[in-house]
Amino acid sequence: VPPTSHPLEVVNVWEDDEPQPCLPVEEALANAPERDGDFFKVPPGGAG
Amino acid sequence: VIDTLRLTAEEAKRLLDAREISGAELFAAYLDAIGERDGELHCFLHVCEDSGGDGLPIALKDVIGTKGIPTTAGSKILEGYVPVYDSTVVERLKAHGLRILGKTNTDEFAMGSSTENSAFGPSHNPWDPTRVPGGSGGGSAAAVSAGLAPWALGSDTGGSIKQPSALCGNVGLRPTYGTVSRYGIVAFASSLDQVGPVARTVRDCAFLYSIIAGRDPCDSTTVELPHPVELPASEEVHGLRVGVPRELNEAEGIEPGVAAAVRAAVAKLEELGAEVGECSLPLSVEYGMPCYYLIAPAEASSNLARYDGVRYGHRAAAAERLEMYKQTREEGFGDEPKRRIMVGTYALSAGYYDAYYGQAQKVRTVIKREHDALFETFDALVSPTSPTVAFPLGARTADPLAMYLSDLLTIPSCMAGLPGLSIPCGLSEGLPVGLQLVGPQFAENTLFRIGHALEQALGFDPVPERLRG
Repeated sequence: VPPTSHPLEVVNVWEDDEPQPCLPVEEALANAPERDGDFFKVPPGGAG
Repeated sequence: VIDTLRLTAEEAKRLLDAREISGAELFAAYLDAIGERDGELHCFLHVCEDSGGDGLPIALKDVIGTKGIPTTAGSKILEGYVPVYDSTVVERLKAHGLRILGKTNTDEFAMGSSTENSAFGPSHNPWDPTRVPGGSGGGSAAAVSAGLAPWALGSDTGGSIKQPSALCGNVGLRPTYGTVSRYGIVAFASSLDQVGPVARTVRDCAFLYSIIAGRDPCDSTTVELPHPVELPASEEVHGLRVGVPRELNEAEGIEPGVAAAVRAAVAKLEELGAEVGECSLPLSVEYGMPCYYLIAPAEASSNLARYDGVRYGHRAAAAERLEMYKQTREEGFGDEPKRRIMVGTYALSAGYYDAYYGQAQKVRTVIKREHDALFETFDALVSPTSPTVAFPLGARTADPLAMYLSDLLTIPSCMAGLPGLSIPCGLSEGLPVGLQLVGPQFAENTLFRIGHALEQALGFDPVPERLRG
């Protein structure tokens, strides 16, 4: 019996490779708990 | 005076089109109803201000991403999260002039059957506030039932639209998988999740489905509908063949009052001219639930990995990065998501993937084939939606397995990606009983037709008895 990973038999879904506007940096960072300029900021990694 | 308890979306639209009422008056009437009754029912996690416009109001389950409006999925880990873009379904609603009344309560990440897993407290059933409204989309179902919204959107993974609609006495559709975009929806189990409508009539349900359905370039799992949505008009079901799967109608745990109400409705269908025959789904009902509880947690464990306190949502205070991840997830997730993340991570771990997730996917094929075979003989299958009427708050919270059984009858068709419509078919112990109609892929129009005919013939009053004036 073959596995069902998806209930519809949809294969090879293509879109034209056309640039679309993307999310502005300010909006992408709007929900960040902490930021540093244009970056998400996280605490430093541990010694290990 | 606008009686929000009785007003259907169709009638509201007629009044708006005839300029007998304004969009602002309509919106205000629902805000008043929310102010009056939501203190008791707790359907809403967030209520919106009127932003103007002239369309119909709508409530949205809080897993549906809304630009500029908080979206929590019922979880502390998303408290304070405000999406910066609209989900595709919301874009479509807005394109039709619909206006968002608010975001409705849900079990955390849509994991549950009662809304008791919401981090923000449960919703209450408008028919009896000591009882649950079902779940996970209990907030949407209770809001429609109590006249706090003319209609709403929910999401369904294993029964989260159909089961609460059944318990609250309204109409809910889980659409064919792939017909409604999941773009911008908080993901639970991606191969099962579908957004769908909750309404007071089958015609309203069909109309809302026609607005949200169709291919979306932002969700590669979506397809165009093969035929347009037809609003059911006739009460004609002559020649339609309706199957009664034994295992879905005689399962252990189905309350006698529920079975009786569904049997009476099936007899009514026969009176109306449908051809009714018994049939069997032995493998789907026996293996549907155990396989669902491998596939859904496995996919959830992967989807919920994104909540790490980096880009949005809750972040725990910790000086070191790994500790921050651990603390964030420990503090942010409730018990049910943690349970499913653990089960799902185990099912996907190296050496176990084939034995659990892979095997469950094969069983899924068996379930799909078993249903397909029945649809060579039948146009639709009928059963109760939920084995029981609305149960008391707290009755199943101590036992996750008892809670999981709430979805015993809805899960098999979800696993097969099939559409399912729940309509109210009567009362048991003074509480609504839901009847489930399942069809082959893209057979929503058939389900609407049967559902509408039955709705007209049964004359069920969807307004909770205690709220009738």
